[in-house]
Amino acid sequence: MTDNFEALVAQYHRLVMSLLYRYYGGRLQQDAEDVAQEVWVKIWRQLKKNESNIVDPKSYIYRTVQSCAWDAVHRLNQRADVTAALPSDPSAEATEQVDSRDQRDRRLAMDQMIASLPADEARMVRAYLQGFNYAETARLLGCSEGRVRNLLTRIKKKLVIEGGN
Amino acid sequence: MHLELEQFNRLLEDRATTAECAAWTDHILDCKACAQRYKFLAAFQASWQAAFAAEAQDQVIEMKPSASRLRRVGTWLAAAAAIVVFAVATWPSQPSTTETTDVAQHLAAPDFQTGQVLAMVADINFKSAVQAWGQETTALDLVQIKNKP
Repeated sequence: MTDNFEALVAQYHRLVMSLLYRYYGGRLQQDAEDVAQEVWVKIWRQLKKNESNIVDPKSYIYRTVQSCAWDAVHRLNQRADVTAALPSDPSAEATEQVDSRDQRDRRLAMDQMIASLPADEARMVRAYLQGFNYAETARLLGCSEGRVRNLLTRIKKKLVIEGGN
Repeated sequence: MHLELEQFNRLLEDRATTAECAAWTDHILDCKACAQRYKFLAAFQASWQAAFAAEAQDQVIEMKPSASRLRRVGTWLAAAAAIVVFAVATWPSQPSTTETTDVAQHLAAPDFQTGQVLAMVADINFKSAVQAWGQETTALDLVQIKNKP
């Protein structure tokens, strides 16, 4: 069992570390070592329980890294939420309120325009507004990248003609 | 409510039903946090797959030297076979003769004089000149030659 575990660590540790460094836009860089440690502890425990539980080590490591990274990001978000909950400068808050009102109006106008589009096109625009690139949009909506590019270009032109920007 | 990791995985691995897929996609498009998570999970999956594709590529590259080694061995074997064939083909068909008498002994004690040798040469020349006589010069040959157009 120890040999198996050592072989897995030797083979995959670098890959695990590189993935953790890149995960979530590099937000886990500080905690990458800890998360990697957590990953290997989980795998070690699973091997200890029953070695035959891990049929496909590659897939098992993938799932473990993913779940550990997921939890780590959640912990980070919680920490960030606590920091954000602290009292801030009141003048800055007033500016933010004005900005948010303006943004809300623009958002309403945009929503009305999106609502007038066919369902497929509306989804593409929503994905675009969420910051998805062409490849990500194509993957999410299950269509080709070329179709996304063409449709978005056409929709943007249409929206500009109708008065949006 | 945000989507769970398992739901993202089902969406990314095309294991969700059409209805689930539509509902979760709509949620992702409405929820900034889930959209971000989806993007990072998709990127994570792509990186993982790329890493294993690279690993597989490395294995193919590692295999290559052994294939070239086999080719090299094959070339050497072909060369050796060609040499063997060449050697067999050019091997002297007549058995090598061994001198039973010493050449120097002959030279030292010739059995005949120069005049005799010349006479023998003349005799051999005469015989070889006469040897062809009568061949294709029979009466029948002459008749055939004559009858040729």
